[in-house]
Amino acid sequence: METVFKSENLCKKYGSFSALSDLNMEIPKGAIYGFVGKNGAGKTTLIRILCGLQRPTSGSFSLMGKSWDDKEIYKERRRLGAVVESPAIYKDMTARDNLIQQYLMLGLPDFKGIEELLNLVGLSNTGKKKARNFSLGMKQRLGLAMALCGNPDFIILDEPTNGLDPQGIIEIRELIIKLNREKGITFLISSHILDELSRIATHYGFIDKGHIVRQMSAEELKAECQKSVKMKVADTKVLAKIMEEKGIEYKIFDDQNAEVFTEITFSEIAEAFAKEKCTIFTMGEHEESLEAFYLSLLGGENNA
Amino acid sequence: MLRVFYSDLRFLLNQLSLKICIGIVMGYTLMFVVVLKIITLFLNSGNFIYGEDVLSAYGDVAIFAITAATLLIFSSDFANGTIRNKLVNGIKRRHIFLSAVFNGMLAAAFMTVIVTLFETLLALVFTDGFMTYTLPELSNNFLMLIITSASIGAFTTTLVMVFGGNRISYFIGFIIAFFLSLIGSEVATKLYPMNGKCTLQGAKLVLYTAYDRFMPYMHFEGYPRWDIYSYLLGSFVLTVLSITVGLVIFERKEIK
Repeated sequence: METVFKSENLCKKYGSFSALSDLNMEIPKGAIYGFVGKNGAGKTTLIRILCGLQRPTSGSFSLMGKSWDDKEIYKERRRLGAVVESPAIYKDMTARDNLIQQYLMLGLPDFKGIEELLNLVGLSNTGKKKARNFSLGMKQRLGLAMALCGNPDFIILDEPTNGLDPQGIIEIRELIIKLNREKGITFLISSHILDELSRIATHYGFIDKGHIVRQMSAEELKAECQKSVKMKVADTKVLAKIMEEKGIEYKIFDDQNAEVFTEITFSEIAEAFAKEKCTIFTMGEHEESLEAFYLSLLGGENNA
Repeated sequence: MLRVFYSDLRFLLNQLSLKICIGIVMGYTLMFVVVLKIITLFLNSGNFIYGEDVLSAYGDVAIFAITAATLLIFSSDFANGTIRNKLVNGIKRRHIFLSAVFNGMLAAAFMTVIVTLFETLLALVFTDGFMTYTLPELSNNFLMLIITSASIGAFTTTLVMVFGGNRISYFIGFIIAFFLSLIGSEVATKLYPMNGKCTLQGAKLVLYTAYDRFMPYMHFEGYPRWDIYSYLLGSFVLTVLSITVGLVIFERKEIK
């Protein structure tokens, strides 16, 4: 598996406080990697180290295959775009001027892509409005546009939907999916909105106390977040008989309520119950969410 | 390196803080001349205002003005996350640092040029001419002020880059400016007393004289007293020291 980022026993200490402790993590190329953890778990520390803002105390990591202590790693960082904590923008400039600034800094030959980028993030109509007068959502979009300058291969987004309205959240989500699918850009997304993350992430990393507790693909998570059907029937003894005949796992709560752990075809089940002359009162699909999985994995206090 | 420098220069020219600082210093200079004119007209009739009096206005506040402008400009680079953005995009730390320092020097020099030209204009309009300065001396003084300002700009920008643009940089920047002003005033008073001759002797005299001759902050203290090479040397040393020490620290600095 080709990776854009790989860390081995990465540690970061601030005095006696250990922000990262033997962190091992891999971000596969082309993934949308959802980075999940409580406040202070070490998410931002890892992002800072990855971006070259800070140095690890021990351990190592590689970015696009280049080791962190390689003098040429700055070349790989040119393929990186990031919005870390707050969007990096020049407040006394317009959205367009901000992008020109980024183009100049990256040494891009012309400014042809700027209008397209402004359209992409929905800031094409901001005209001469200075960035200091932008709303939080607009700043977030501008930060994203800045991160997209120069067609990066890997984008790091720390709370990308922070401050966005529901429409904006949907637009950013669709933009991330589009960029990932069409341009193959790898994303590392740290988000507090787990439901939102679960809609786009292809891989997950759960961090706690500076340590990766679990890494998994969306498919693996789906398998772990077992689907079930909650049923209310006239007699759960009949339900037990039918489920055993079909080899389906189930759990009886009382005489009328039970839970069936599989994806079932409703009509097929209804037919079986009709044959046994047992009434089905209600039937509803239930799925454990990323949120529930996260809570079971890391505990519920101070979640982020 | 050049593309970072150019992009930083563009940012500098768009900076509201620089424009505000220049505006405030120009306003101060104008007020200085107006007050001087009023005093001369109503309280001290018969005396004249000379061009030299007007030109001294910027010198009184230059150290604080340059410190304020560079601190405001480059601390916003940290506050807005643009330093972070440069590092993320693979710009080398030394290029980021050098570009900031050179732009700090430019900002300080730019401010000095604009304000000094404005002072000269005020001197031509509101005074009875220059009493002691000849035209070559005026241009020499102008050049010296630009070089000195640039070196002070390098020093204060280094402070911001080293302390990460937080409140400590403001505190240290202004404390240094304040103490150097006090020391400057003390050195000038002892070396050039209003009444009588200088009474300093031995090592103290050598030390005070060297400080007066080579310390760029002293060049704003009254009329130019030394040749331009002395000022050049002092400014060069301050700039090189600032860059060298600043680079070593910034290369190892952890950025939040």
